[in-house]
Amino acid sequence: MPLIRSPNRVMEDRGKPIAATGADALQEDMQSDDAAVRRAAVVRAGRCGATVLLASRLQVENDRGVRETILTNLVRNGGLAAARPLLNLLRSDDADLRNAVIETLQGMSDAITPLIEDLLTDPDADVRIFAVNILQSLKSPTVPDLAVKVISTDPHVNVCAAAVDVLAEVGRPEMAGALRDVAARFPDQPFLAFAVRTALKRIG
Amino acid sequence: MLRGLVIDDSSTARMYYRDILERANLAVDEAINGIEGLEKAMNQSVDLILVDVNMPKMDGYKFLGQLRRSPGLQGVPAIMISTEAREVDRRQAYAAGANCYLVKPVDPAELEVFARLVTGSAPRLRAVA
Amino acid sequence: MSLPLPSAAAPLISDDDFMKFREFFYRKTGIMFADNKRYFVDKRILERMAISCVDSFDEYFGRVRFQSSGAELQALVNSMTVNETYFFREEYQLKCLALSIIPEIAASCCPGEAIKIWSIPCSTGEEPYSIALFLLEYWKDVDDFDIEIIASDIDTAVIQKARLGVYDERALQHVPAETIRKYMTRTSDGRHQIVGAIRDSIKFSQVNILDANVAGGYAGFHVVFCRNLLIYFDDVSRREAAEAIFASLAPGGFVCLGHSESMSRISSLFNIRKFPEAIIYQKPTIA
Repeated sequence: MPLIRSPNRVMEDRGKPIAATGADALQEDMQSDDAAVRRAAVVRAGRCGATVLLASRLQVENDRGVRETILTNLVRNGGLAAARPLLNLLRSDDADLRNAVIETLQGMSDAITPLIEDLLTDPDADVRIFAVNILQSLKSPTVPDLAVKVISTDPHVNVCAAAVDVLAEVGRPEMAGALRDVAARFPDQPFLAFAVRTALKRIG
Repeated sequence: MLRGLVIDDSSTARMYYRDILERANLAVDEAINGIEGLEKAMNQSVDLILVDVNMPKMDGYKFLGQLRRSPGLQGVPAIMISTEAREVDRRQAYAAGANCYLVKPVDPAELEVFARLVTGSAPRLRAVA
Repeated sequence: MSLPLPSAAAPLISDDDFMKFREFFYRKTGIMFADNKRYFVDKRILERMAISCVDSFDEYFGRVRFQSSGAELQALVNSMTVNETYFFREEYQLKCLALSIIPEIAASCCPGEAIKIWSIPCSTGEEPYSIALFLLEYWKDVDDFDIEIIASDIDTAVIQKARLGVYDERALQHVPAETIRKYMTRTSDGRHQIVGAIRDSIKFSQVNILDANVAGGYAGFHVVFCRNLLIYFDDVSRREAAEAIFASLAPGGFVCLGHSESMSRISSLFNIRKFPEAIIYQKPTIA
């Protein structure tokens, strides 16, 4: 019969257990040539809350699987210490890395809201769009008001359109005025007008 | 009926592009990122793809790269839509496999013209405003 | 169109409410409710609202959207998805396994190397036994290879049932009578039991896929079936589970998710492979 019972195998050692690991061993494993060893080290670092180590490894890590594990462990840790080192990567030319960082920040708790609020006034319009994209997933109750602030003050139509998108989901009836105002501020912008019409219908 | 596929993580953008493509007589399907876009393109024949650049899990460039390596999908017309207006970004989009590159905010008339070009339907004549 | 409800004070869900909800749910899960599912969706939202003691849709949606634990969203997912187990569920994937995936794996196997398949969660055993039966019946080269099937679940009670391998007609309704005759015996209470040789060949174990240490000991799989589990996880747990699956696969190994699940909402680690029967995710081979 072709089906055979799987033999009892010794569980493969995927790196040293946490208790026996010193910081040196962790660092060493994180630079191993073997991606699987690096990945296991990342998981251990995540469990120790070594977010600075993780973020610095992210800048140089080329393996897909390890990179994704670093980001997952940063999300798991959450908080300002995990988020701060990622902010600069939003300016990266590597679209893949940038989007992975946005997604990571989207997954973090609202402890990071103050950092995102800062980004909303960044001189670079693209960074401001990314910040609004992060708002789309943040659970902080201040998200709707932050989005209103963007549509009331941002000079760039694409940033405002992204914020209108957020309000379509989380906007409240009293925000209708601000929505109409942004459409008036950018006349001759069919997508923005469409987005505002949609948001007005959704906010009730 | 010809089918369009709109790939963008913004639901408002997807609705907007859907309206325009439907005016160009396409049936429209949607995806929120490149992975879902590839799945939909593989599952059902598609005649025109609109793809945003910045999306979670798989961005527009990666999507195009995978699309052009997928059996049966190499030749599907794909319009990349981006916030970047620099020449280098346009060239990067073409190098990745885009047939056309539009910068946000997208002019609906221009998008409809391209859609009709790709699908072979006659341009819609209107009085100039 | 909103549905009127018996009570005069009962809440209604407007068309715009439905669209707002639908888009949010689609973004989070990949499941898009067609317009004709309106009654299905409304009914379940109203049920959850009643349980949550909330009588306005706006307030309920706000709770779902902003709740940091995500528990209410998970409760919604549970209520919107039907999760029942039976033999040959999502048969197109089993066909893909026997006709496309396993032949491809076999072609690159070393002599004497067993083909390893992991079913997690295995629940009461319908899935691992379905895999076994399908390969025995439909993979033409099945006699030329050794196949190891490991079946795991977090719940020891269901594993016990799986080991016994006894099933009623409802679980077997999609199995051809000939297949039942071939691989199952009748029990005294009119049910069917998987023959001993097959039961004994499958290794059952208790595993929590999120426990990286344990899951890390499971490695080198050619195929992992992880169907209708991840959809019930929160976002970060889903990523961790996907990474654990990735680590458990041999390079080039395949993972099958449930029919309403997609890696597009979970992880970018895997390549997408289109087979005639199904779209399956694949761990990249070593470059």
